Amino acid sequence: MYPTIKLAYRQIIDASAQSDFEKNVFNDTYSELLLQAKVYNRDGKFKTVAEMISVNPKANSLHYKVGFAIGLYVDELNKKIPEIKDSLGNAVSFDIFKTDIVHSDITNKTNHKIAITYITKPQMLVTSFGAYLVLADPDANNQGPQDKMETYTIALQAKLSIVNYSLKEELS
Amino acid sequence: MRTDITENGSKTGLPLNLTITIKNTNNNCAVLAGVVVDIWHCDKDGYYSGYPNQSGYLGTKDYTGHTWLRGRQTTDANGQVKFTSIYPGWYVGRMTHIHVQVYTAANSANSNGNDSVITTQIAFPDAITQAVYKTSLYSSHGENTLTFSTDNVFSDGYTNELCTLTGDTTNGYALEHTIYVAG
Repeated sequence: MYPTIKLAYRQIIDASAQSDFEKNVFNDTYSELLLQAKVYNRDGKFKTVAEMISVNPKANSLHYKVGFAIGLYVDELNKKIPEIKDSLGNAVSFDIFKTDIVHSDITNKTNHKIAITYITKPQMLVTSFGAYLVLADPDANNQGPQDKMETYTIALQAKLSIVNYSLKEELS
Repeated sequence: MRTDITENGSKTGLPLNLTITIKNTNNNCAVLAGVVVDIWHCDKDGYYSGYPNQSGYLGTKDYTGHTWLRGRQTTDANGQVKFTSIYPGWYVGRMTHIHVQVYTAANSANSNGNDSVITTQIAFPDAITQAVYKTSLYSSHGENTLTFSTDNVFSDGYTNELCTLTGDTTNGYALEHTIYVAG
């Protein structure tokens, strides 16, 4: 029985977006922000989400509500986290994603910056050495004994973090 | 166009087919086409998709990354949007409700220069709600003992927010509701 961890990778998308995915996320989260921010900016006094939250904490919901606009683009990722790979160059699968607004300016789109955090399902932490984690996907190892498992290796790196640790194996 | 907000039945509950009509108080209450209507509500157990740290009778839940029971449509020529959903459950402190936001200038077809958003909630006839909450899918949560007079949103009155329901606790309900906006 191994402990399980969830990995989270945070992708930052701003006006320098290159791929179609990044451009679509940049454009559609900004459009969604302009629409949704009206709720918290009735007098048009505010420029940033941070200003709206400081007056009305419920504006914090804008962080996740802009994410509803990009669900179809995220679906096209086929559950593969962009930008990072394991040590063999294979993509790492995520379970859920969440968005947060890193910087906003409803008067200037070029200042818009959004983060998508991709979170994996619980992965068995077989061992670790240095910055490397040796992991096993419970879904790929749900048959047979745990002394012989298919594993993969990934290096901890910038914007990649362990966000959940469980001594009990949680097979969601 | 997202009509079925149960995400193909992944959220169970008593079927609820919503028809929301938007009318324009700036135009003799004629129906208003081309405006965006957002709705969202909790599941049969009282939890929302989209965010973490929700306390409820099943414990603290994290539904980050999920979008069930949330939908958006643009009103058609009849000023209507239609959603397929489930009868909402309840959570402590609130009567059964559905959140609605109407964005009157989201479509350039509505070009009167107004640029506003209307935030409201749809209230449910309590006798029907109590009957629904006795059915098998809802009964494990029990009855909500709150009343409209102590609800922190509806306590100042709810006649304008109260929807019309037709149907029964076996087959589900059709919900009709009209929202008046200054479009």
